Amino acid sequence: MFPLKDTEMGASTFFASALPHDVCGSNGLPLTPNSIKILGRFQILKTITHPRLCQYVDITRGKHERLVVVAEHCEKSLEDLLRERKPVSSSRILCIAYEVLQGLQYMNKHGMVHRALSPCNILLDRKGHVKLAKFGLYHMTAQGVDVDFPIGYPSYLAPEVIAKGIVKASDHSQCEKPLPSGPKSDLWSLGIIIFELFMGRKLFQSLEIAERLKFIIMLGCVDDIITVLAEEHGCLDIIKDLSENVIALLKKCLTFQPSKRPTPEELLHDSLFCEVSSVYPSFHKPASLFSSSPRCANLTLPEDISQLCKDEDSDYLAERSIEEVYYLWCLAGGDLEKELVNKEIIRSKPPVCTLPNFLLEDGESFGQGRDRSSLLDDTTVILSLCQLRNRLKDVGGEAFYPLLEDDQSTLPHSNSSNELSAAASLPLIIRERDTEYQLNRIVLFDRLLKAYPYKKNQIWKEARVDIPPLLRGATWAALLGVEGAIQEKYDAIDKDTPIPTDRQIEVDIPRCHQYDELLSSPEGHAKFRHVLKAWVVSHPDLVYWQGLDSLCAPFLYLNFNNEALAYACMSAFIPKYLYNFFLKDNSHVIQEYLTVFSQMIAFHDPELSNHLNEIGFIPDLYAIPWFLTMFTHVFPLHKIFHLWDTLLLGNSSFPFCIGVAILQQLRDRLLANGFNECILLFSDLPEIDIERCVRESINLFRWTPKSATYRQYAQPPRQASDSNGTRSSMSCFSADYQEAPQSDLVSD
Amino acid sequence: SLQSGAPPLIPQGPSMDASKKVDLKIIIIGALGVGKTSLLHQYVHKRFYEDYRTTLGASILTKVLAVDNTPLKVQIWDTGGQERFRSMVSTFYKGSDGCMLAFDVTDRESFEALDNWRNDFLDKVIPREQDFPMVVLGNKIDICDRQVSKEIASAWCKEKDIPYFEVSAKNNINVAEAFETLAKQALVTYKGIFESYLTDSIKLTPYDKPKKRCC
Repeated sequence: MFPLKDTEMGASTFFASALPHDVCGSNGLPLTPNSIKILGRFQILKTITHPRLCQYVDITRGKHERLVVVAEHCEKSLEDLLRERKPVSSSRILCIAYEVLQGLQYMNKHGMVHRALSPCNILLDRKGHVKLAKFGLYHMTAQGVDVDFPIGYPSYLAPEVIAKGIVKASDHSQCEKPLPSGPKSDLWSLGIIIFELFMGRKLFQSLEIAERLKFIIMLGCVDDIITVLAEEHGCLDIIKDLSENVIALLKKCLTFQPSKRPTPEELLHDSLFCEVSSVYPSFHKPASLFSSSPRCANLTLPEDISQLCKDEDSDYLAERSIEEVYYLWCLAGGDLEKELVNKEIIRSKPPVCTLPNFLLEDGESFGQGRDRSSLLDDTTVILSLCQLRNRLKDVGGEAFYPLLEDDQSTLPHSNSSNELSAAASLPLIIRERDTEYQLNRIVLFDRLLKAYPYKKNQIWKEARVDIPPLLRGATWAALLGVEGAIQEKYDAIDKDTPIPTDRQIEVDIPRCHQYDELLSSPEGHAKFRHVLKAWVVSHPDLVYWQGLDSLCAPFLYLNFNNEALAYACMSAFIPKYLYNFFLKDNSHVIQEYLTVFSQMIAFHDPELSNHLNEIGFIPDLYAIPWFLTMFTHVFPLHKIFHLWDTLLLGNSSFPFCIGVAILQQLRDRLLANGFNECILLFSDLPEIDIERCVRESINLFRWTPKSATYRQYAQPPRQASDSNGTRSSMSCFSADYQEAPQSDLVSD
Repeated sequence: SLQSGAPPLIPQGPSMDASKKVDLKIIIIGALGVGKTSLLHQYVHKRFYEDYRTTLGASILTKVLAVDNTPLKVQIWDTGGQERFRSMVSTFYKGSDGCMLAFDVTDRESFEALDNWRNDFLDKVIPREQDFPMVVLGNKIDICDRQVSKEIASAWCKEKDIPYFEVSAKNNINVAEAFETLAKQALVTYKGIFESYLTDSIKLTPYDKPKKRCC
């Protein structure tokens, strides 16, 4: 994501259509709420980053299927330009049109259509450049299916959009789904907007909405749409003064037949933009962290390097990405709902006024029709950064640009880092909620990750302190040593051809961490399917065991928009911690593992071990789901994150220590009870204090001699000899010049 | 090596009959996704939860029910349904007094797998007896899209002489009846043992060496 710079963050809200009561899907389970579907579809929008598009940041669900969307925002829009009631010059119009087309073309490339283009959604940044807002509404609502309001504004709707009519979401008959609008419909809207700009006022203001729609449809019968429009609005004289290019542009946009209208892509390369286009440099998507393309290929230094070190009071926070600023805003006490309530976007009626007149037994209510006009609110509320800035007022510039010292460096530590190390001793739960601490950690990890794999050792070192939640996905990937052309590898795997495991995967996914909004969305299910299938297909010697779905969940959650990275992480994790656990016949591996675990219990807690042996409460009865899924089957995601933050720093014996630490937390209850109570206790694992569990497993790990966890079927250590032949061909990978960091959890 | 010579530390499974503090152990088995956990929860908690986790290995619930005015503590073992887990699951078969075979009426394969599940279970239960207390449950009758008709399922059960129940964990149809039938059946089979429990409740381990019990 781009830095925030001088734009703002804005929040807007709308309602997803509510599902009828007590209606079940074909599988007998309740239908997924529309707000969850929208939330899932929204995620991809976060990856669509372009200077002409407002960056999407976050979506949250509120009561009664309300959704709140956070995105980049600018206060000014073309609406303000129109409000001045002055015609806009031809050259300015061409620039605006070109910039809008750039934005449209980029979103079309990602399979998206705006459909709600209007002057109020074409924002202008401080330099007067265009940024398209609300461009994801049509996409995230499944082309408007999941909401009860029409998408688009009557004056700007293309005739083919009007002709299709409004499909009411309530009739779920599914008999004939209307075709979604294509990119060309946006061009019509752009044509109308351009018309308004040179006219200096809005079109169709004297017509009722129904009349307006009728008028637009009727334009199909006229020869010269532009002249008719101009006559209707009494501005034939202005038309005459327009430059040829603007007239040509208008004609192309306001072509009645979509088949004859160009696409944004085609129009962008039209000769009429010859002059304009030369001003705009082409846009390069910044290379992502885990990709094979060099991340510095398109780096450019400013002509005057001294520009880089600006004056004292430069705004460092605005140089951070919008995603980070929003994250910190939330930490500093930001509350979306409160902001919207303050601006009276969210209004609450007195409960007595919302009582229904008539209720059916199944909960369906009548007599209090929803006010349909409140389903979508066009207002965007700007999220003030005052509170956040105030919180960070004592943070110096050096915190934003930390020095990445080498291991051997003898540079003295600065004062601020001493303060930070004091903060580092606070409980994790407090550190994760501390705005200033998180800022420091995020900035540091961001820089270290950008220098990955070169800075791998330092990432390991810092990860031992803690991992900032915002960057957990990338940090885990770094700890797992993921590198290379992961996207290409993932794309090359056939995830579509049916395989026998499909049914199994299909049954397991709707039961896997479904309390989570992301993972329970249809989008989440599809991604689960892809990643799990990719793993099964690409590991022919291993098979799908139930539990693999749980194992996939944390990686998918953290890399929801990057299936390839989720897959790469999972593929790196399994051989490290679950070597051969997913063999078709894994009984020898599991049996040995459980035997060693029994030994570990006996080594660390003889009394407990004796008791458990005496009552016959063997690990086979309870520990298989623990180890087979590395605890992802027994703990919710937020606990797994903290557990794995440490697990990833340990070797394949570390899980034994986690297991012993869990038993020790339940020690008193286990000792006091017999077989039946114990098995009941573990049937539904009681609340475990995960921070204590992590602390204690580290301790246990340090006290465990290596021989105690020796396993015959463990992953054999990598042979040094087999790297000599292939070394030169893959010298760009870090594994060649540095072995996996030695920072075992034991060493301090 | 370290492992090869050493004897296994794990005792050979818990001897369920020995320290019995429950009266009956019932196990529920069947293909994946047929709703074993849902049936169990519907029976024990009278609730249908939509978001279940996959069962890996086993999980256990207990319920006290009255059969012929006698309170009976039943321990029900819920097991994972994936084929691969069968070798692990069989550890849990030991000491069962009754077995519940479940399938999904909207999934033909789950019905066809019944034979395997039944044989596998009977193989592991020593001594193998054909008239081991069993019931068959055809679940999900609330869903319209049936693949296994009532006639076919009943025929299969009749041939094996097993009571058949058409149930719905979601709408709580026939669930309790099925469980209670199985409990009664198990009780008849083990009447002798059960009576010795009632008449001599202090002697909890009648044929085992006396064990120290912590109270």
